[in-house]
Amino acid sequence: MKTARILSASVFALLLAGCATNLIETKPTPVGDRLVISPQVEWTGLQTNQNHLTIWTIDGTRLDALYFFTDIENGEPMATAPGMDKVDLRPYRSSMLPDDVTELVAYALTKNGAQQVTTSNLKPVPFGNQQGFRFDLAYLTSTGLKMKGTALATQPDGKLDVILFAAPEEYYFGRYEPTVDKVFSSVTIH
Amino acid sequence: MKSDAAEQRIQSLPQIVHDPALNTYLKNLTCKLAAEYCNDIRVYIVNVPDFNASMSPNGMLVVYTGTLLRCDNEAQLAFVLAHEIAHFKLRHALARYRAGRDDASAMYIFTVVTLGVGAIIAQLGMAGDFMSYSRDQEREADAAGFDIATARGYDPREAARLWTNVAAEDAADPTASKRGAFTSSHPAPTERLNTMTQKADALAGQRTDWILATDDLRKQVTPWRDKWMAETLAAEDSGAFLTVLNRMASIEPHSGMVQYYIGETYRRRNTDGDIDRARTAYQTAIADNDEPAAAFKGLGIVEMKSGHNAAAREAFDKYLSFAPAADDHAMVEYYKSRLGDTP
Repeated sequence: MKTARILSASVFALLLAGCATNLIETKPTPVGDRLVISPQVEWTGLQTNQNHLTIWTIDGTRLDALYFFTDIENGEPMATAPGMDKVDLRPYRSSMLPDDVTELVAYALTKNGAQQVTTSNLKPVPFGNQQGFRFDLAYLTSTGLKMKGTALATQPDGKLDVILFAAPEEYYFGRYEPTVDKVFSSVTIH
Repeated sequence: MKSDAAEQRIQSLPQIVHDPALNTYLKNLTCKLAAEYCNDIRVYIVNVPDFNASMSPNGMLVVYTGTLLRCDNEAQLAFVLAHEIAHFKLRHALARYRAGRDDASAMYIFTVVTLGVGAIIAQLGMAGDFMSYSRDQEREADAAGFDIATARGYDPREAARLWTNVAAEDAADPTASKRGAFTSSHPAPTERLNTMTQKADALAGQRTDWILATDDLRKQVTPWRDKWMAETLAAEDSGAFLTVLNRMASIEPHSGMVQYYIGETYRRRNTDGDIDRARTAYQTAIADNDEPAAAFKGLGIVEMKSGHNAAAREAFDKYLSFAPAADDHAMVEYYKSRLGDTP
Protein backbone atom coordinates (compact mmCIF):
# COMPACT_ATOMS: atom_id res chain seq x y z
CA MET A 1 0.00 0.00 0.00
CA LYS A 2 2.73 2.40 0.99
CA THR A 3 4.73 1.67 -2.16
CA ALA A 4 1.69 2.28 -4.34
CA ARG A 5 1.11 5.60 -2.65
CA ILE A 6 4.73 6.67 -3.03
CA LEU A 7 4.58 5.91 -6.74
CA SER A 8 1.70 8.31 -7.09
CA ALA A 9 3.18 11.08 -5.01
CA SER A 10 4.12 13.50 -7.75
CA VAL A 11 1.79 16.31 -8.74
CA PHE A 12 2.36 18.07 -12.05
CA ALA A 13 3.67 14.69 -13.30
CA LEU A 14 1.40 14.90 -16.33
CA LEU A 15 3.21 18.04 -17.36
CA LEU A 16 6.42 16.16 -17.97
CA ALA A 17 7.33 16.01 -21.64
CA GLY A 18 8.81 12.53 -21.47
CA CYS A 19 11.94 10.93 -20.19
CA ALA A 20 14.41 13.61 -21.26
CA THR A 21 16.66 14.56 -18.34
CA ASN A 22 19.81 16.52 -17.73
CA LEU A 23 22.28 16.70 -14.88
CA ILE A 24 22.16 19.90 -12.84
CA GLU A 25 25.64 20.44 -11.45
CA THR A 26 26.39 22.46 -8.34
CA LYS A 27 27.54 25.56 -10.22
CA PRO A 28 25.13 28.54 -10.57
CA THR A 29 22.45 27.57 -13.07
CA PRO A 30 20.02 29.77 -15.00
CA VAL A 31 16.33 28.90 -14.72
CA GLY A 32 13.71 30.63 -16.84
CA ASP A 33 14.52 34.04 -18.25
CA ARG A 34 15.86 35.75 -15.17
CA LEU A 35 16.65 33.42 -12.27
CA VAL A 36 20.06 32.01 -11.38
CA ILE A 37 20.18 29.24 -8.78
CA SER A 38 23.03 27.68 -6.83
CA PRO A 39 21.83 24.07 -6.65
CA GLN A 40 24.00 23.11 -3.59
CA VAL A 41 23.87 19.43 -4.63
CA GLU A 42 23.47 17.65 -7.94
CA TRP A 43 19.90 17.43 -9.20
CA THR A 44 18.29 15.84 -12.21
CA GLY A 45 16.49 18.31 -14.45
CA LEU A 46 13.34 17.13 -16.21
CA GLN A 47 12.00 18.44 -19.46
CA THR A 48 8.40 19.63 -19.30
CA ASN A 49 5.88 20.48 -21.98
CA GLN A 50 5.49 24.02 -20.64
CA ASN A 51 7.72 27.01 -21.25
CA HIS A 52 7.26 28.35 -17.75
CA LEU A 53 7.86 25.19 -15.74
CA THR A 54 11.21 23.60 -14.85
CA ILE A 55 11.45 20.59 -12.54
CA TRP A 56 14.47 19.35 -10.62
CA THR A 57 14.64 16.26 -8.45
CA ILE A 58 17.21 14.39 -6.39
CA ASP A 59 15.65 10.95 -5.90
CA GLY A 60 12.87 11.19 -8.52
CA THR A 61 9.75 13.33 -8.65
CA ARG A 62 7.80 10.75 -6.71
CA LEU A 63 10.04 11.36 -3.71
CA ASP A 64 11.04 14.99 -4.05
CA ALA A 65 10.51 17.74 -6.59
CA LEU A 66 11.61 21.33 -6.92
CA TYR A 67 9.25 23.16 -9.28
CA PHE A 68 10.22 26.49 -10.85
CA PHE A 69 7.25 28.41 -12.25
CA THR A 70 8.94 31.35 -13.94
CA ASP A 71 7.97 34.53 -15.76
CA ILE A 72 4.22 33.98 -15.40
CA GLU A 73 2.54 36.98 -17.01
CA ASN A 74 -0.66 38.78 -16.10
CA GLY A 75 -3.66 36.80 -17.37
CA GLU A 76 -1.83 33.47 -17.66
CA PRO A 77 -2.54 30.43 -15.46
CA MET A 78 0.35 29.37 -13.25
CA ALA A 79 0.18 25.82 -14.61
CA THR A 80 -2.07 23.84 -16.91
CA ALA A 81 -4.27 21.08 -15.54
CA PRO A 82 -5.27 17.72 -16.96
CA GLY A 83 -8.66 17.80 -18.65
CA MET A 84 -9.04 21.57 -18.43
CA ASP A 85 -8.75 24.23 -21.08
CA LYS A 86 -6.29 27.01 -20.33
CA VAL A 87 -9.04 29.64 -20.56
CA ASP A 88 -11.00 27.92 -17.78
CA LEU A 89 -8.14 28.04 -15.29
CA ARG A 90 -7.85 30.80 -12.71
CA PRO A 91 -5.21 33.21 -14.08
CA TYR A 92 -2.38 35.02 -12.35
CA ARG A 93 -3.00 38.77 -12.03
CA SER A 94 -0.17 41.24 -11.53
CA SER A 95 -2.39 43.00 -8.96
CA MET A 96 -2.31 39.91 -6.75
CA LEU A 97 -1.01 40.26 -3.22
CA PRO A 98 1.04 37.46 -1.63
CA ASP A 99 -2.13 36.02 -0.06
CA ASP A 100 -3.66 35.75 -3.52
CA VAL A 101 -0.54 34.01 -4.83
CA THR A 102 -0.63 31.39 -2.06
CA GLU A 103 -4.22 30.66 -3.09
CA LEU A 104 -3.17 30.44 -6.74
CA VAL A 105 -0.45 27.92 -5.89
CA ALA A 106 -2.93 25.86 -3.84
CA TYR A 107 -5.38 26.04 -6.75
CA ALA A 108 -2.75 24.83 -9.25
CA LEU A 109 -1.90 21.90 -6.97
CA THR A 110 -5.57 21.04 -6.54
CA LYS A 111 -6.19 21.09 -10.27
CA ASN A 112 -3.29 18.69 -10.69
CA GLY A 113 -4.68 16.12 -8.29
CA ALA A 114 -3.70 17.33 -4.81
CA GLN A 115 -6.40 17.30 -2.15
CA GLN A 116 -7.02 19.24 1.06
CA VAL A 117 -4.28 21.73 0.24
CA THR A 118 -3.51 24.09 3.10
CA THR A 119 -1.05 26.96 3.26
CA SER A 120 0.55 28.50 6.33
CA ASN A 121 3.35 30.71 7.65
CA LEU A 122 3.12 33.32 4.90
CA LYS A 123 5.81 35.90 5.55
CA PRO A 124 7.84 38.49 3.65
CA VAL A 125 11.40 37.41 2.82
CA PRO A 126 14.02 38.45 0.26
CA PHE A 127 13.97 36.76 -3.13
CA GLY A 128 17.47 37.50 -4.34
CA ASN A 129 17.67 41.28 -4.47
CA GLN A 130 13.86 41.60 -4.74
CA GLN A 131 11.07 41.62 -2.19
CA GLY A 132 9.57 38.16 -2.01
CA PHE A 133 7.53 35.99 0.28
CA ARG A 134 7.60 32.45 1.56
CA PHE A 135 4.95 30.04 2.75
CA ASP A 136 4.46 26.39 3.64
CA LEU A 137 2.00 23.88 2.22
CA ALA A 138 0.50 20.54 3.15
CA TYR A 139 -1.71 18.33 1.03
CA LEU A 140 -2.69 14.79 0.17
CA THR A 141 -1.98 13.15 -3.16
CA SER A 142 -4.85 11.53 -5.04
CA THR A 143 -3.94 8.25 -3.38
CA GLY A 144 -3.79 9.70 0.09
CA LEU A 145 -0.07 10.21 0.67
CA LYS A 146 0.65 13.11 3.04
CA MET A 147 2.89 15.72 1.42
CA LYS A 148 4.64 18.83 2.69
CA GLY A 149 5.88 21.76 0.69
CA THR A 150 7.55 25.11 1.01
CA ALA A 151 7.50 27.89 -1.56
CA LEU A 152 9.39 31.10 -2.33
CA ALA A 153 7.81 33.65 -4.65
CA THR A 154 8.22 37.15 -6.02
CA GLN A 155 6.45 39.45 -8.48
CA PRO A 156 9.00 41.91 -9.93
CA ASP A 157 7.70 43.90 -12.91
CA GLY A 158 4.30 42.27 -12.47
CA LYS A 159 5.55 38.82 -13.49
CA LEU A 160 5.33 35.92 -11.07
CA ASP A 161 8.13 33.54 -10.14
CA VAL A 162 7.43 30.68 -7.73
CA ILE A 163 9.88 28.04 -6.53
CA LEU A 164 8.03 25.19 -4.85
CA PHE A 165 9.60 22.19 -3.13
CA ALA A 166 7.31 19.25 -2.33
CA ALA A 167 8.02 15.83 -0.85
CA PRO A 168 6.27 13.17 1.23
CA GLU A 169 5.87 14.38 4.81
CA GLU A 170 7.39 11.17 6.08
CA TYR A 171 11.20 11.33 5.87
CA TYR A 172 11.75 12.95 2.47
CA PHE A 173 10.62 16.52 3.19
CA GLY A 174 12.76 16.78 6.31
CA ARG A 175 15.70 15.15 4.61
CA TYR A 176 15.95 17.79 1.89
CA GLU A 177 14.51 20.87 3.60
CA PRO A 178 17.96 22.21 4.70
CA THR A 179 19.23 21.91 1.12
CA VAL A 180 16.13 23.66 -0.21
CA ASP A 181 16.60 26.48 2.30
CA LYS A 182 20.10 27.02 0.91
CA VAL A 183 18.77 26.89 -2.66
CA PHE A 184 16.16 29.52 -1.80
CA SER A 185 18.83 31.73 -0.23
CA SER A 186 21.04 31.40 -3.29
CA VAL A 187 18.56 32.78 -5.81
CA THR A 188 19.55 35.82 -7.80
CA ILE A 189 17.22 37.57 -10.20
CA HIS A 190 18.06 39.72 -13.23
CA MET B 1 -14.44 -9.54 -4.88
CA LYS B 2 -13.15 -6.18 -6.05
CA SER B 3 -15.63 -4.29 -3.91
CA ASP B 4 -14.19 -5.92 -0.79
CA ALA B 5 -10.65 -5.01 -1.83
CA ALA B 6 -11.76 -1.44 -2.45
CA GLU B 7 -13.42 -1.34 0.96
CA GLN B 8 -10.20 -2.49 2.62
CA ARG B 9 -8.36 0.31 0.85
CA ILE B 10 -10.87 2.98 1.72
CA GLN B 11 -10.58 2.22 5.42
CA SER B 12 -6.95 3.35 5.47
CA LEU B 13 -7.37 6.51 3.41
CA PRO B 14 -6.58 9.74 5.27
CA GLN B 15 -9.57 11.31 3.49
CA ILE B 16 -11.96 9.25 5.62
CA VAL B 17 -13.78 11.40 8.19
CA HIS B 18 -13.69 9.62 11.54
CA ASP B 19 -15.85 12.03 13.59
CA PRO B 20 -17.84 9.58 15.77
CA ALA B 21 -20.92 11.81 16.07
CA LEU B 22 -21.13 12.44 12.33
CA ASN B 23 -20.59 8.76 11.50
CA THR B 24 -23.22 7.66 14.01
CA TYR B 25 -25.66 10.19 12.58
CA LEU B 26 -25.10 8.96 9.00
CA LYS B 27 -25.29 5.31 10.03
CA ASN B 28 -28.53 5.86 11.93
CA LEU B 29 -30.07 7.75 9.02
CA THR B 30 -28.98 5.01 6.62
CA CYS B 31 -30.51 2.35 8.86
CA LYS B 32 -33.73 4.31 9.14
CA LEU B 33 -33.97 4.28 5.34
CA ALA B 34 -32.55 0.82 4.63
CA ALA B 35 -34.63 -0.93 7.32
CA GLU B 36 -33.95 -4.68 7.07
CA TYR B 37 -30.84 -4.02 4.94
CA CYS B 38 -29.24 -1.89 7.69
CA ASN B 39 -26.68 -4.47 8.76
CA ASP B 40 -25.62 -5.09 5.14
CA ILE B 41 -24.53 -1.51 4.55
CA ARG B 42 -21.37 0.21 5.86
CA VAL B 43 -21.19 4.00 5.60
CA TYR B 44 -17.93 5.86 4.86
CA ILE B 45 -17.70 9.63 4.86
CA VAL B 46 -14.95 10.78 2.50
CA ASN B 47 -13.51 14.27 2.50
CA VAL B 48 -14.11 15.23 -1.14
CA PRO B 49 -15.65 18.64 -1.87
CA ASP B 50 -17.89 17.46 -4.75
CA PHE B 51 -21.58 16.63 -4.54
CA ASN B 52 -21.80 12.85 -4.78
CA ALA B 53 -22.39 9.56 -3.03
CA SER B 54 -21.80 6.00 -4.18
CA MET B 55 -22.89 2.46 -3.40
CA SER B 56 -20.94 -0.69 -4.19
CA PRO B 57 -22.66 -4.06 -4.55
CA ASN B 58 -21.08 -5.32 -1.32
CA GLY B 59 -22.83 -2.60 0.69
CA MET B 60 -20.05 0.01 0.86
CA LEU B 61 -21.88 3.33 0.92
CA VAL B 62 -19.60 6.34 0.39
CA VAL B 63 -20.85 9.84 1.10
CA TYR B 64 -18.78 12.84 0.01
CA THR B 65 -18.46 15.73 2.44
CA GLY B 66 -19.49 18.01 -0.47
CA THR B 67 -22.92 16.37 -0.30
CA LEU B 68 -23.27 16.98 3.43
CA LEU B 69 -22.28 20.61 2.87
CA ARG B 70 -24.84 21.14 0.09
CA CYS B 71 -27.93 19.48 1.59
CA ASP B 72 -30.17 22.11 3.15
CA ASN B 73 -31.79 19.63 5.52
CA GLU B 74 -31.89 15.97 6.50
CA ALA B 75 -34.72 15.33 4.05
CA GLN B 76 -32.49 16.19 1.08
CA LEU B 77 -29.71 13.98 2.41
CA ALA B 78 -32.24 11.20 2.89
CA PHE B 79 -33.15 11.31 -0.81
CA VAL B 80 -29.46 11.02 -1.77
CA LEU B 81 -28.90 8.05 0.55
CA ALA B 82 -32.17 6.42 -0.47
CA HIS B 83 -31.13 6.56 -4.15
CA GLU B 84 -27.99 4.59 -3.29
CA ILE B 85 -29.85 2.18 -1.02
CA ALA B 86 -32.31 1.55 -3.87
CA HIS B 87 -29.44 0.46 -6.16
CA PHE B 88 -28.40 -1.99 -3.45
CA LYS B 89 -31.89 -3.33 -2.79
CA LEU B 90 -32.65 -3.67 -6.48
CA ARG B 91 -29.42 -5.62 -7.03
CA HIS B 92 -28.53 -3.63 -10.11
CA ALA B 93 -25.03 -5.09 -10.29
CA LEU B 94 -26.46 -8.58 -10.56
CA ALA B 95 -28.90 -7.45 -13.23
CA ARG B 96 -26.06 -6.06 -15.33
CA TYR B 97 -24.10 -9.29 -14.93
CA ARG B 98 -27.06 -11.53 -15.81
CA ALA B 99 -27.75 -9.42 -18.85
CA GLY B 100 -24.25 -10.32 -19.98
CA ARG B 101 -23.26 -6.72 -20.40
CA ASP B 102 -20.29 -6.61 -18.08
CA ASP B 103 -17.48 -8.79 -16.91
CA ALA B 104 -18.21 -10.67 -13.71
CA SER B 105 -15.16 -9.14 -12.03
CA ALA B 106 -16.21 -5.58 -12.78
CA MET B 107 -16.25 -3.11 -9.93
CA TYR B 108 -19.67 -1.52 -9.78
CA ILE B 109 -20.08 1.78 -8.06
CA PHE B 110 -23.47 3.46 -8.21
CA THR B 111 -23.19 7.20 -7.90
CA VAL B 112 -25.88 9.76 -7.49
CA VAL B 113 -24.39 12.00 -10.20
CA THR B 114 -21.60 11.54 -12.71
CA LEU B 115 -19.83 14.69 -11.57
CA GLY B 116 -17.01 13.99 -9.18
CA VAL B 117 -16.86 10.26 -9.70
CA GLY B 118 -13.16 10.48 -10.41
CA ALA B 119 -12.04 11.45 -6.94
CA ILE B 120 -13.09 8.43 -4.94
CA ILE B 121 -12.54 5.98 -7.78
CA ALA B 122 -8.97 7.23 -8.11
CA GLN B 123 -8.41 6.98 -4.37
CA LEU B 124 -9.55 3.37 -4.43
CA GLY B 125 -7.30 2.64 -7.38
CA MET B 126 -10.30 1.35 -9.29
CA ALA B 127 -10.47 3.76 -12.19
CA GLY B 128 -9.99 0.98 -14.71
CA ASP B 129 -12.75 -1.12 -13.19
CA PHE B 130 -15.45 1.46 -12.75
CA MET B 131 -18.74 0.51 -14.35
CA SER B 132 -21.55 2.95 -14.68
CA TYR B 133 -25.18 1.98 -14.84
CA SER B 134 -27.83 2.46 -17.44
CA ARG B 135 -30.09 5.47 -17.39
CA ASP B 136 -33.02 3.10 -16.86
CA GLN B 137 -31.41 1.74 -13.69
CA GLU B 138 -30.75 5.28 -12.50
CA ARG B 139 -34.38 6.20 -13.15
CA GLU B 140 -35.43 3.09 -11.24
CA ALA B 141 -33.18 4.06 -8.31
CA ASP B 142 -34.54 7.61 -8.37
CA ALA B 143 -38.12 6.30 -8.16
CA ALA B 144 -37.42 3.62 -5.57
CA GLY B 145 -35.28 6.01 -3.52
CA PHE B 146 -38.08 8.56 -3.55
CA ASP B 147 -40.49 5.95 -2.24
CA ILE B 148 -38.05 4.84 0.48
CA ALA B 149 -37.49 8.38 1.77
CA THR B 150 -41.12 9.49 1.63
CA ALA B 151 -42.22 6.28 3.35
CA ARG B 152 -40.07 7.43 6.28
CA GLY B 153 -41.88 10.76 6.27
CA TYR B 154 -39.32 12.96 4.49
CA ASP B 155 -40.88 15.87 2.63
CA PRO B 156 -41.25 14.79 -1.04
CA ARG B 157 -40.77 18.37 -2.24
CA GLU B 158 -37.16 18.32 -0.97
CA ALA B 159 -36.11 15.83 -3.66
CA ALA B 160 -37.00 18.34 -6.36
CA ARG B 161 -35.40 21.18 -4.38
CA LEU B 162 -32.19 19.20 -4.09
CA TRP B 163 -32.00 18.65 -7.86
CA THR B 164 -32.88 22.27 -8.49
CA ASN B 165 -29.97 23.32 -6.29
CA VAL B 166 -27.51 20.91 -7.86
CA ALA B 167 -28.56 21.87 -11.38
CA ALA B 168 -28.16 25.58 -10.52
CA GLU B 169 -24.60 25.04 -9.32
CA ASP B 170 -23.87 23.00 -12.43
CA ALA B 171 -25.32 25.68 -14.71
CA ALA B 172 -23.15 28.34 -13.04
CA ASP B 173 -19.98 26.41 -13.83
CA PRO B 174 -18.98 26.78 -17.49
CA THR B 175 -16.48 23.92 -17.13
CA ALA B 176 -19.09 21.43 -15.91
CA SER B 177 -20.30 20.38 -19.34
CA LYS B 178 -16.71 19.83 -20.46
CA ARG B 179 -16.22 17.50 -17.51
CA GLY B 180 -19.30 15.48 -18.36
CA ALA B 181 -21.30 16.45 -15.31
CA PHE B 182 -24.75 14.88 -15.25
CA THR B 183 -24.09 13.14 -18.53
CA SER B 184 -23.20 9.61 -19.55
CA SER B 185 -25.00 7.22 -17.24
CA HIS B 186 -27.47 9.49 -15.50
CA PRO B 187 -30.76 11.03 -16.61
CA ALA B 188 -30.59 14.72 -17.45
CA PRO B 189 -31.14 16.99 -14.43
CA THR B 190 -34.27 18.51 -15.96
CA GLU B 191 -35.75 15.04 -16.40
CA ARG B 192 -34.91 14.12 -12.80
CA LEU B 193 -36.32 17.42 -11.61
CA ASN B 194 -39.55 16.96 -13.56
CA THR B 195 -39.96 13.39 -12.35
CA MET B 196 -39.41 14.35 -8.72
CA THR B 197 -41.76 17.32 -8.99
CA GLN B 198 -44.55 15.20 -10.45
CA LYS B 199 -44.15 12.56 -7.75
CA ALA B 200 -44.01 15.22 -5.02
CA ASP B 201 -47.14 16.95 -6.34
CA ALA B 202 -49.00 13.67 -6.17
CA LEU B 203 -47.92 12.99 -2.61
CA ALA B 204 -47.37 16.28 -0.80
CA GLY B 205 -50.99 16.93 0.11
CA GLN B 206 -51.47 13.58 1.76
CA ARG B 207 -50.05 14.73 5.10
CA THR B 208 -48.99 17.91 6.82
CA ASP B 209 -46.23 16.62 9.04
CA TRP B 210 -43.56 15.91 6.45
CA ILE B 211 -40.07 15.84 7.96
CA LEU B 212 -37.32 18.34 7.07
CA ALA B 213 -35.08 17.88 10.14
CA THR B 214 -33.01 20.94 9.19
CA ASP B 215 -31.45 21.36 12.63
CA ASP B 216 -30.56 17.67 12.91
CA LEU B 217 -28.28 17.87 9.86
CA ARG B 218 -26.94 21.33 10.67
CA LYS B 219 -25.91 20.26 14.17
CA GLN B 220 -23.69 17.55 12.68
CA VAL B 221 -22.27 19.60 9.83
CA THR B 222 -21.58 22.88 11.65
CA PRO B 223 -18.29 21.79 13.28
CA TRP B 224 -16.92 20.87 9.84
CA ARG B 225 -18.40 23.58 7.68
CA ASP B 226 -15.49 26.02 7.86
CA LYS B 227 -13.00 23.37 6.71
CA TRP B 228 -15.26 21.99 3.97
CA MET B 229 -16.08 25.42 2.59
CA ALA B 230 -12.39 26.36 2.53
CA GLU B 231 -11.53 23.16 0.67
CA THR B 232 -14.31 23.71 -1.85
CA LEU B 233 -13.16 27.25 -2.44
CA ALA B 234 -9.57 26.13 -3.08
CA ALA B 235 -10.65 24.40 -6.30
CA GLU B 236 -13.12 27.02 -7.51
CA ASP B 237 -12.80 28.18 -11.11
CA SER B 238 -15.82 30.29 -11.79
CA GLY B 239 -17.66 31.13 -8.61
CA ALA B 240 -20.23 28.33 -9.11
CA PHE B 241 -19.98 27.66 -5.39
CA LEU B 242 -21.65 31.05 -4.92
CA THR B 243 -24.97 29.39 -5.77
CA VAL B 244 -24.50 27.19 -2.70
CA LEU B 245 -23.27 30.02 -0.47
CA ASN B 246 -26.06 32.39 -1.50
CA ARG B 247 -28.63 29.70 -0.76
CA MET B 248 -27.01 29.17 2.66
CA ALA B 249 -27.18 32.93 3.23
CA SER B 250 -30.89 32.97 2.41
CA ILE B 251 -31.46 30.22 4.97
CA GLU B 252 -29.06 31.71 7.55
CA PRO B 253 -29.15 35.47 6.93
CA HIS B 254 -26.97 36.23 9.95
CA SER B 255 -24.20 33.72 9.42
CA GLY B 256 -20.96 35.66 9.40
CA MET B 257 -19.09 32.58 8.24
CA VAL B 258 -21.25 32.18 5.13
CA GLN B 259 -20.83 35.86 4.30
CA TYR B 260 -17.08 35.55 4.82
CA TYR B 261 -16.89 32.74 2.26
CA ILE B 262 -19.03 34.72 -0.17
CA GLY B 263 -16.45 37.49 0.17
CA GLU B 264 -13.61 35.03 -0.32
CA THR B 265 -15.21 33.61 -3.47
CA TYR B 266 -15.68 37.04 -5.04
CA ARG B 267 -12.19 38.17 -4.07
CA ARG B 268 -10.59 35.10 -5.64
CA ARG B 269 -12.73 35.20 -8.80
CA ASN B 270 -11.95 38.91 -9.23
CA THR B 271 -13.98 39.62 -12.35
CA ASP B 272 -15.57 43.04 -12.95
CA GLY B 273 -17.31 44.25 -9.79
CA ASP B 274 -16.19 41.31 -7.68
CA ILE B 275 -13.94 43.38 -5.41
CA ASP B 276 -16.93 45.57 -4.49
CA ARG B 277 -19.09 42.48 -3.96
CA ALA B 278 -16.36 40.98 -1.77
CA ARG B 279 -16.19 44.17 0.30
CA THR B 280 -19.96 44.11 0.87
CA ALA B 281 -19.86 40.45 1.92
CA TYR B 282 -16.95 40.98 4.33
CA GLN B 283 -18.70 43.99 5.84
CA THR B 284 -21.90 41.97 6.24
CA ALA B 285 -19.91 39.18 7.88
CA ILE B 286 -18.32 41.63 10.30
CA ALA B 287 -21.73 43.06 11.16
CA ASP B 288 -22.80 39.59 12.26
CA ASN B 289 -21.48 38.12 15.44
CA ASP B 290 -19.81 34.91 14.35
CA GLU B 291 -17.46 36.16 11.63
CA PRO B 292 -14.02 34.60 11.45
CA ALA B 293 -11.18 37.04 12.17
CA ALA B 294 -10.03 36.41 8.62
CA ALA B 295 -12.99 38.50 7.41
CA PHE B 296 -11.03 41.56 8.60
CA LYS B 297 -7.99 40.42 6.65
CA GLY B 298 -10.08 39.81 3.54
CA LEU B 299 -11.58 43.26 3.91
CA GLY B 300 -8.13 44.75 4.37
CA ILE B 301 -6.93 43.12 1.14
CA VAL B 302 -9.85 44.40 -0.97
CA GLU B 303 -9.53 47.89 0.55
CA MET B 304 -5.79 47.85 -0.19
CA LYS B 305 -6.45 46.87 -3.79
CA SER B 306 -9.05 49.61 -4.04
CA GLY B 307 -6.59 52.23 -2.80
CA HIS B 308 -8.61 52.83 0.38
CA ASN B 309 -5.55 52.91 2.59
CA ALA B 310 -7.12 54.13 5.81
CA ALA B 311 -9.88 51.51 5.61
CA ALA B 312 -7.30 48.82 4.78
CA ARG B 313 -5.13 49.84 7.73
CA GLU B 314 -8.10 49.76 10.09
CA ALA B 315 -9.17 46.29 8.86
CA PHE B 316 -5.65 44.89 9.15
CA ASP B 317 -5.30 46.29 12.67
CA LYS B 318 -8.53 44.58 13.69
CA TYR B 319 -7.36 41.33 12.16
CA LEU B 320 -4.12 41.49 14.12
CA SER B 321 -5.97 42.22 17.35
CA PHE B 322 -8.62 39.50 16.82
CA ALA B 323 -6.11 36.85 15.68
CA PRO B 324 -3.06 37.43 17.89
CA ALA B 325 -1.77 33.89 17.32
CA ALA B 326 -2.12 33.91 13.53
CA ASP B 327 1.03 32.84 11.70
CA ASP B 328 0.84 35.62 9.10
CA HIS B 329 1.35 38.65 11.35
CA ALA B 330 4.59 39.60 9.61
CA MET B 331 2.85 39.54 6.22
CA VAL B 332 0.00 41.73 7.40
CA GLU B 333 2.47 44.17 8.97
CA TYR B 334 4.23 44.22 5.59
CA TYR B 335 0.93 45.08 3.89
CA LYS B 336 0.47 47.90 6.37
CA SER B 337 3.97 49.19 5.67
CA ARG B 338 3.14 49.39 1.97
CA LEU B 339 0.07 51.49 2.75
CA GLY B 340 2.23 54.22 4.29
CA ASP B 341 0.44 57.06 6.04
CA THR B 342 -1.78 58.09 3.17
CA PRO B 343 -5.56 57.87 3.61
